[in-house]
Amino acid sequence: MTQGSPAPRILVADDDPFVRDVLTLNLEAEGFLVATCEDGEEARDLARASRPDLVVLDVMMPGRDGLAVLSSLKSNPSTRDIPVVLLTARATDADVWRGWQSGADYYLTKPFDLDGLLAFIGQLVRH
Amino acid sequence: MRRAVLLLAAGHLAVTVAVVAAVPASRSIPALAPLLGLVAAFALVGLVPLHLELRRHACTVVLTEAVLVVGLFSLHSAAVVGAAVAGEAIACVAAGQQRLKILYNAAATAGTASLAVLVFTLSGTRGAANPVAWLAAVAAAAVFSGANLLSTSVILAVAEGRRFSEVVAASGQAALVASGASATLGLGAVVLASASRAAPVLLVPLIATVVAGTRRLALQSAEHLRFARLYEASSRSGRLTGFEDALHALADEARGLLTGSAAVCLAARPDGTWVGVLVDDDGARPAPAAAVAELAAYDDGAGSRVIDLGRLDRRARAALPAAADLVVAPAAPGSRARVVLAVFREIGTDSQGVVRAEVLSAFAGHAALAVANALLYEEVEEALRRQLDLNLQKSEFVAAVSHELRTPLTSVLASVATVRRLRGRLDDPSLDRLFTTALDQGERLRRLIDELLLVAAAEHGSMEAAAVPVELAALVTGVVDELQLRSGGRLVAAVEWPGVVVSDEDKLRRILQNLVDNAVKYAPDGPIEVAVRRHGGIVELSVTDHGPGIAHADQERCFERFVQLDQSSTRRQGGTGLGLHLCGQLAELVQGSLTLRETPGGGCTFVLALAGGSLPDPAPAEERVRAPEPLTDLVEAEHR
Repeated sequence: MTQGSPAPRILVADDDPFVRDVLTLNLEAEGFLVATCEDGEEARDLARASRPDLVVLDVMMPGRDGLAVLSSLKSNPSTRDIPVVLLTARATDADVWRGWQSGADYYLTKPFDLDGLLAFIGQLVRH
Repeated sequence: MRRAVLLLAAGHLAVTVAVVAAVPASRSIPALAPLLGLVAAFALVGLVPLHLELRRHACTVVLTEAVLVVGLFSLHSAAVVGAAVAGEAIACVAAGQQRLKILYNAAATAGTASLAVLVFTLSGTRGAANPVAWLAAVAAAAVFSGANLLSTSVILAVAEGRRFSEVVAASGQAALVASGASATLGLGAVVLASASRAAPVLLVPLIATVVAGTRRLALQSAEHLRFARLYEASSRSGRLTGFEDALHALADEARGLLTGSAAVCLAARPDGTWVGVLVDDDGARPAPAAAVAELAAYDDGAGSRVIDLGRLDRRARAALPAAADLVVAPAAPGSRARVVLAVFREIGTDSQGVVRAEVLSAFAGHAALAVANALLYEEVEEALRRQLDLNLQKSEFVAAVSHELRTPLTSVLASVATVRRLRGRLDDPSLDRLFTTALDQGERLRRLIDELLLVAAAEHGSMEAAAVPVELAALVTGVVDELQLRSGGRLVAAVEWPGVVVSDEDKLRRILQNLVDNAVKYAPDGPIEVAVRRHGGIVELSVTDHGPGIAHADQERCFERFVQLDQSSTRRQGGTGLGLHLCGQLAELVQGSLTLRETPGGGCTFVLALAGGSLPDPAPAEERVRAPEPLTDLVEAEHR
């Protein structure tokens, strides 16, 4: 991160408070600004309103599921370019395939590799 | 069918009238003796018909041509036609044929005989020594036989919905050969008679041999054909699989086998209900219930029989398809399935009735096999479907388990990874939170695995319940104390009956723990009451919450395995989807019954009801258990 430019903002949408907590701790330690929310509806609205630099999205959430949020983000020109990392405990091949199909930039199954996730987010956000 | 027969009969009569008008009639009245002789001869040959049955087509070949030829040489035309009609009518009546059939046969004989007379008359000669007359006589016999064949074929084609040419081809050859032989015999008699009146007697052994030989041949071929048909029908029915399809196909085969106008195949399902399929000219459909009831009555062990429908009472007749008679055959007692075949025939009872009943009876045996097969197939298919369902459920179970294991594991691993990653950079509260998360979620993982194992053990029946005295007051307070912290101090113990039941303490505790966990998860506010009461000899352990409750429609389902009534909130609450299912299984194991009631004012009350129980007294536990419950205890219990 170059001095002076604002810290990249990351939106974490997951209904599991522990996952939100852990990701917030780690991402903040990496120098990101982190916003969290716990349902799909909120995730979509926040992404549209604040245009974060990256969204970490859980698939199974109350309200609107992660895949639906992903599709609506990717079909909207204003949010199309925001990278999205799908994070889910749904781990069958079909689930993974559906995730990629919906336009995910990265797909991670829970339990996820924290170091790998952080490295990947760093790459996506800082090019 | 009836209309076609009447139309054809009218056609024959029209031909007769035209020919009789065209042929110059002799004014002389024929001598009575030869006329009566001819009538008698026609009647006689009509009575000994030779049935040539070819597939489903029946063609009757008789010695009529021989008599016709004799008649042509000895009497004038109108007399021959009259004698032929009279003879045919007498034969039909004597055979007990249906009115429509008598009418048709008489009309057909009139029509075909007049055509024959016309052909013979056109030759202009009738001398027995004249070869031209011989030729004319053979031609006349050929016309007679040919016209007969065509008119019969029309009816068969209409009745069976087959192509006319097919029907003619199937029966024509045999009919023409037989009538050719028959005409030649007649001609021989005429020629011999011109030499000497007694000479035709010489032909008697020959005629007898021909009649006996062809009759025997015809019967044999009929028998052969019946077996061939039976075999075909049986082999086709061997491949049947669906129950209804089998009934349909068997009714169809039975109808074809006996050239019936309609047929019903009925069979009893394993539960004893009779199901029938009716096949007629309009296709197949389920037989009306009244007909099924009427026909099922023939499964009485009395075997196959032919029933004159006219003799049945009106109610029974109304239930069945309209027909002249009914051939009915139940499968023999002891067959693998109970089956009754019923074929309705428009053509009335005749000499073949008994044979038909036998054929149908034989087929009923095959039908029973086919039906038993179909029932077995359905059973196997159903079992397979259930197995597949179970497999699907298991796959879903595994997927759900995998999901449920991943969630806490994620928290454990991520917390630990965070601690390692941010070592030294975390403040104490964060560090504390991460360790707590890791431990709590590890604990949740352990519970989940425990529950999975318990459910598996309960489902495989490998768990046994102990039967020892359990102090209920201690049980309830123990559970409340243990879970008070986890539930945020909301638990209230209500020991209204501090008695003892003989049961399995561990399992009772497990049930209460799960019910309390459930209440804590789904009722976020309000007290949670853990109570023990006794009502009418039944001990009730209950957990009452004041949460949102469970919708009526879901109350049955909530005890099913992995039913998570609200996926998202279950997930949020970290439920396994096994808790209530396990409670139900454990309740069954301790011979209790777990039910869900609504808490007055909202919320759920789960009640575990156990039979028996007694109040504690200073005596040792063992004795307490063995002693019969004193009545006073009961009374006291009710008034506590």
